[in-house]
Amino acid sequence: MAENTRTSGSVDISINVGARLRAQGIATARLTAGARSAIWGIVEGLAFALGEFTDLIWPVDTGASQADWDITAEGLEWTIRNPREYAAYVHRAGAAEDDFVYLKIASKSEDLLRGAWSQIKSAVETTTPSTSGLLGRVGQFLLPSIVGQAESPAGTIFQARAAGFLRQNTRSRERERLRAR
Amino acid sequence: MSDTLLSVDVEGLQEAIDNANEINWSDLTEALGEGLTRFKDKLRGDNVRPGNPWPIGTRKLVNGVKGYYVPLGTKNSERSGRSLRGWKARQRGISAVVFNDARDKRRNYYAEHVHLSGKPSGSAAEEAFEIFAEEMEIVSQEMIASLTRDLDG
Repeated sequence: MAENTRTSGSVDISINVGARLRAQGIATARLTAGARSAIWGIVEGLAFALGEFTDLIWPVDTGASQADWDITAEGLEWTIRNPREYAAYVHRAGAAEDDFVYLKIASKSEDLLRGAWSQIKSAVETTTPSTSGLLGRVGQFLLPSIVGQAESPAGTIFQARAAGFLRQNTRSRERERLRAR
Repeated sequence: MSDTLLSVDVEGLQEAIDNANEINWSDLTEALGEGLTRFKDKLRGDNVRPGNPWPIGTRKLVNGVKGYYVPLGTKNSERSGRSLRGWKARQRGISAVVFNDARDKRRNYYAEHVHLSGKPSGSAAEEAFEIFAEEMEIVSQEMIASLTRDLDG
């Protein structure tokens, strides 16, 4: 299961699908643009399903930490993360204190990936890229031909937001939250 | 709005780049990253209770299943930040893209239809663009300051 790579209370359980393919002897550097695009599309579908699952099980009070889940596909990366400083500690009322909800999300992500693995392996042979729709437009932006690394998976925006939440005094935010009710 | 390319006025930036003796790319990248972070944070309002300016819905639970949207405060309802969760920002150097990939049960993108209270469909996206333009204006001023620093000294 993907482990949380963060230690400050935020969550990053992103999965590198490319690394999983390489572990099975598939040379991802040789994938055609079509294959990458097809795999991206499959992972995008998994991201949608995981988002549905997250909306279903994540405890919601104000919706702040739910809205902070960033679950999306970027090429061969499956981004699954939440910069909230308490996201790693969220558990359902009545559940054991170490029964963290993000662990269920991590487990579900592995289940989904396992279920789609044969589809992903078939996509390795695809040759025609898809560049339509939102995915195609974002994909064009993230093409590796553009200079520099994309902001993924433990990117600068995520890091900045996670640090920002940590800087803000949790107790003062709680006071504001109660006042807002 | 979905297929429209929106432009942000960053007057003076191109000129500053053209005239710079030295370009500190990490300063520019950092300025853009901070601007994107502020944009995402501003969509959530006060960061305590989201819903202003980007709306957050309230869904009613029927037999334990999350159902249709209802007014805030309805019995057996809970908040849902689904379309707020759809906002993503990606950065590559001094290029960035922000998008909202929230989809409904039929997997149709719907962020372009989200509206502010009492305003027409799409008004939330218009408001988001206003915030984005404001933040990018600040970013461009910071970039210009970085580019002209050595000229001033």
